[in-house]
Order: sequence, then structure tokens, then C-alpha cells
Amino acid sequence: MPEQATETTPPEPMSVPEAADLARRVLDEVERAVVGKRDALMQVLAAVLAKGHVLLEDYPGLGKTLAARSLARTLGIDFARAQFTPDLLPADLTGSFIYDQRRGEFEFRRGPLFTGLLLADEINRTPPKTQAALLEAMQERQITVEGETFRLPEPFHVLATANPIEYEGTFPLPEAQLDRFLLRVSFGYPTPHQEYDVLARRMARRQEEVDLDVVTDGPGLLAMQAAVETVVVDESVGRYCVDLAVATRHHPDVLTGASPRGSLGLVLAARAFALLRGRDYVVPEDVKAVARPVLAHRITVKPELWMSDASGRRVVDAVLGQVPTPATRDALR
Amino acid sequence: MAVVSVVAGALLVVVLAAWASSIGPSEVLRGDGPSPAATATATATSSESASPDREATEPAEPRGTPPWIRAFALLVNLAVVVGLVLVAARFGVVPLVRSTRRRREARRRRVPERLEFGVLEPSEAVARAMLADAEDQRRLLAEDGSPRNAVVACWDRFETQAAAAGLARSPWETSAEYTMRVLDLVDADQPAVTRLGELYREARFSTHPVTEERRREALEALDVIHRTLLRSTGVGA
Repeated sequence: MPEQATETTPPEPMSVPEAADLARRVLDEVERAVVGKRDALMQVLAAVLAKGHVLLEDYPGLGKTLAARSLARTLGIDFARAQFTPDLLPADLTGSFIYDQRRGEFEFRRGPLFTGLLLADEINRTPPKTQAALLEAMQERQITVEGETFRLPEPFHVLATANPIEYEGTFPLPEAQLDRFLLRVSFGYPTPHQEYDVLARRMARRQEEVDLDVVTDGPGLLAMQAAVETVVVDESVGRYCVDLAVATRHHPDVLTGASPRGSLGLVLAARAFALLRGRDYVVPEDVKAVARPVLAHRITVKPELWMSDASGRRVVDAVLGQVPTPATRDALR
Repeated sequence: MAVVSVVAGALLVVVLAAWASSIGPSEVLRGDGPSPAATATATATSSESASPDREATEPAEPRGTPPWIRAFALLVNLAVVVGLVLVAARFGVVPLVRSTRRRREARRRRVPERLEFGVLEPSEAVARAMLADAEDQRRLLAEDGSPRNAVVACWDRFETQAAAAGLARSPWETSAEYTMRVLDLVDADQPAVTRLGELYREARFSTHPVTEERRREALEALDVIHRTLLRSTGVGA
């Protein structure tokens, strides 16, 4: 496994075509393990390139863990998995000081947070105290234990999973914390053809694991992230993002719409998406492509509509069908 | 089918009624069947002289059916016939007329729907509008200021042409989505449309310099699109 960048060294910028090519190779490689989920994988990779975290909300057995592990493998970064049980404590994630009798001093033993890609499995099963510790680490990219602050390695990304059907014994994430996730992605069931493909590939390789090639490494990922920062957003497109977020606040079914963090997330994710498509500029179609996974989980639908099929996703669809897109011609340059 | 059977049934009833009325009710009265009244008269008259002449004239008496009975029978027949015709009209002809009218209305209604969805007519209109403006559009792209502005103006022209042909852009639709939809409708060459669309997006949303090379590529794509339009519509071919 290649060395990961633990300190914040300024990454060498990579050109947009180079980064796009690298991203394409990563996706091709991951797709060898996760069959037929190119769109969802593109969204997850876009979130990683935009330095965000992803919430995978889906039923069990649809390849969430496999996707996270494969992505970490091909990106050449460390991977850790933490099962979020009801008795998990914040110190189980962050690590804690342990007394070393030989040297007569306390030594910090690092928890699973100190990794490149953390799979937080079933994040809604753990009590709010532990959830808050994780979400704080996600936002600040540092943790404080007994008054001592530790910076998390870069890159650091969280792929959290949540089961959408079980409510017994779960602690649903509050809206304020859901907001910390750049995207909420759903893999969905494969088509029968794809499902058979999964079976056939498993038979053909005669072992459980898929051997994936390492395409890049920690510094490579940082350079790709730096390339995303060079992608430009025209003012009209930026205003379109804002209009979309504002429109979610005025929709009749909505109690709380997307926050400014929502419109910021829209721009950031759209930039990464543009890079995946090999462009150094964002077009309105990029915004439309990421609007659902970026905005849907930031919208709280009015509680009295619980029996209807009103949902954040439907609100985003309605908003996309209303808000005027950027004009064909801008002021001539 | 139902109408035919009703009419046939009515005709049969009319024929039977006519036949029955032509025979007249006298036949029934004159019948040979044992009639208590006839027996009574027979026994009553048997005491008197029963001459064969009298016997011959006696049956003639009922044959002379009173005219009012004939008139009454005719009226009844007429009433039955009129009634049957009315019944046939109610259950046979009226539903037929109604269903025909409904079908005609449905057909009339279907015609504008077809126009609204724009399967055939608008594509023709848009293609003609595009071809009519083709030269000006090409001149705009070839000569108008910087390559960036020229490409954007050229793309915008498609929108103007399609809108003039009655296919306006919805506000939520992006320019690229709309124009590609329109160009798809008129069967323009797909790779050329995609290429021109990419060039438009680059010119409109990027900040890096747009070179004369891009203008040349856009001209090529535009010429291909116009050629395929000419071929598909047959205008000026």
C-alpha cells in the first residue's frame, strides 16, 4: 500500500484532462467489483474529489461496503471500517490515551478515524453522542482528546451507510447533521441482467475477493482535488444553484429547505462532476445531474404530509422543473 | 347487427299482422271448433225446420264483419307498427347515430393532440425555418466578432428559429437541452449536433480562450447539420 500523505503538503496541481483520465481509470477499476453502478459510483467519486463525505442510504446487500472498499483500494488510500453499534463510544472512534507502564507515561492510541477512507456502517444505530463526535471530525478534520488536538490525515473521507427501513432501536440523524454530508447516494437494486453478471463474475474468478489494481495514491488524490479547484463556475450557473436552493425553501410541501451549505454543496459537487466529464467549466446540466443527491437530504418535508408521498427528492424534482436555467447568451465578452 | 335484427323482427310482425287483418276476425268466429254459443243456437234451431238453405246462409252472416271492427283492427295494426318503429328507432338508430357522432368527435379531438406533441408537423416547420435562416446563421458564425461570441450567437439562432416555428423553450430547460431536443426532432446529424453543443457550452461557460480553430470546427458542424436538414426535408434538393 502506498504511503499516504499525513501532513498538509501543498499538492502538485494536475491538469483537468489528466485528472479526468485518472478518475475514469478509477471508475473503470471499481466497476470491475461493483457491477453496473456507474452513475452512483460517479457521484461518490465526485463527492470525494470535492472533498466531501457521502451518506449511502440503501438496503443491505447492495454493495455499499464493497464500493467503499474498492474505491479506497483503487485510490490507494487507507481504509477502515467502524460498525456503529448502540454501545459505541466516541473514544472507540477517536482513540484514547493508554498508560504505558514501561515508560511511565500516557500514550495516544489512534482510533479508526485516522484513516483515508472510513466506512461508518449503519451510522443511525449509534447514539447521538457518538454521531456528533464523528460529524465533528468530518467537519473540522481534527479531533480533540483530553485537551490535545490531533489533525486527521489528508485525504480523509467518510462513507456512512444508513438503513432506510429499520426504525426500531435507531437514532435518525438530525437535519443539522445530515447537512454535513455533501451527497446522499442510493445504489438501488441491479437489473436482472446485472445481477446475473455479478454471479457469473464470482463463478469465473473462483474466490470471494476481487483483485483490483491501485490506480493512484494519497498525493494523487490530493492533486485531483486540487484540479477540481481550478474548474470555473460562470456567474449565471452559480446564481442558478442559489435559485434552486432558495426555491426549495418556498415549496409548499417544505418545512425547512436547503441551507446556504446546500447551494455551496451544489456548486462544489457540480465542479467535481464537470471534471469527471473532462471539462474545466461547469454547465447547468452538471448542476441538474447532482441536484438530487446534493439537495434531497437537506429538505425537511412538513410532518403533516407523512402519509402522502411527499419527499425531499420530489421537492427537488419539482424545483428543477420550475427554476429558470441560465440564459442562452450572456453579456457578450 | 342489432339494428338489422330489430328491423327484421318488426317487418315480420308487420307481415303477420297484415296477414291476420286480411283474414279478419270472422275466420275465428266462423271456425269449426265447438262453440258453446253455436251449439246453443243449433239446439235452439233444431226444433225448427232445419233446411239446408238456411244452413248455407247462416255461416254467411258472420262473414259480413262489421266495418267498425275492421277499422278498429286496422288502427290496432297501425298502432303496433308505429310502436315497433319507435322502439326500433329508440334502441337501434339513436345509439348508432350517437356512437358515430362520438367517434367523429374523438377523431376531431385526436388531430390537435397529434399537433401538440409535435410528431410530424412541427419538425417540418422547424426544419424549414432553420433552412430559411441557414445562410444568415452561417454568416453570423463566420464573421461575427470573436469566436466565442460567434459560436454562442450561432447556437442562439437555432433557438430563435425553433421558437419562430412555434416550438418555444420552457424556462426550466437549459439551452443545450432544448436545442438538442429540437435538432433531434428535425433529424439533424447526431455527432455534428453533439459537437456544436459542446462548442457552445465551452464558449458560453468557460473562461479559457476560445480560438479561431473552434470557430472553424463549429462551421464544419453547422454545415453538416444544414446538409442533413436539406436531405431530410427535401427542400431545395
